[in-house]
Amino acid sequence: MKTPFDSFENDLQQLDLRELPAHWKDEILAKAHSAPRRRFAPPRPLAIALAAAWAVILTLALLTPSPRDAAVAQKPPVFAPDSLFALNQQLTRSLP
Amino acid sequence: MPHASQLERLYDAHAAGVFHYLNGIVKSEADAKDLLQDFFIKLADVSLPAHLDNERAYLLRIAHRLAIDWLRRHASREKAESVHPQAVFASQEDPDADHFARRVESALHQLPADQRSIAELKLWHGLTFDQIAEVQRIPLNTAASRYRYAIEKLRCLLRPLYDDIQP
Repeated sequence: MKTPFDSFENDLQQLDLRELPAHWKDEILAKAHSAPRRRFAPPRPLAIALAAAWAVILTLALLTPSPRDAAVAQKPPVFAPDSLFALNQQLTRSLP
Repeated sequence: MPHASQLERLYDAHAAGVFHYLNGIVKSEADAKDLLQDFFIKLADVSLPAHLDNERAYLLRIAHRLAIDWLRRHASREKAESVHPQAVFASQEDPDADHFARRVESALHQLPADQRSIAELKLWHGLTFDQIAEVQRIPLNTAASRYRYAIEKLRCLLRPLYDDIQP
């Protein structure tokens, strides 16, 4: 939205901003170039919250049995043929 | 990260304007200079978008955020250091024009900070109300009305002198 200036605004606009002292340029640009580059780092509270969340996730992952373990646990035991034969013999002997 | 020559170009084109904008907000030349330093450290660290509608508006948005963060950190100092008007305008050869410039500085100093900063953005940075609204993150109507208030106050404060000087 560009609105036309009246004569008062035009007169104000004619005023030039003061220049900066010449020696500032070298000083400011030298510091800007030599300043250590910033790496991304989340704010401290966020970092703590993230670490806590990961700790909970890892703990739950370690304590909760995996679905494969659960499936194995629910299956009836499978006996080896030798074991079945030995059991059968034991039962036969124990019967009157 | 801008190349050294690009940073130098940005300094030549915008440093004075950004400094005066910061100075108008923090009301201390020493702090405005520190903020200008922070501003260029930040610029050295980021890449400017390839296509900018208005580079000055983009840079002033960054400067505005730096100044607002500074104000939050130094809320108690702001009032203490706003006693004298800052030298904003270049010296004029014509004594009348120079006197007018000093009176404008004094009148600007009497404006509320939010009106002053918008008057500066409009008059001396050439920003549109849309761009001002974007720089300061305020509604467009707020930017326009603050500007009108600022101009009316400046008109009142400068009226006797301005009427004398006007041809």
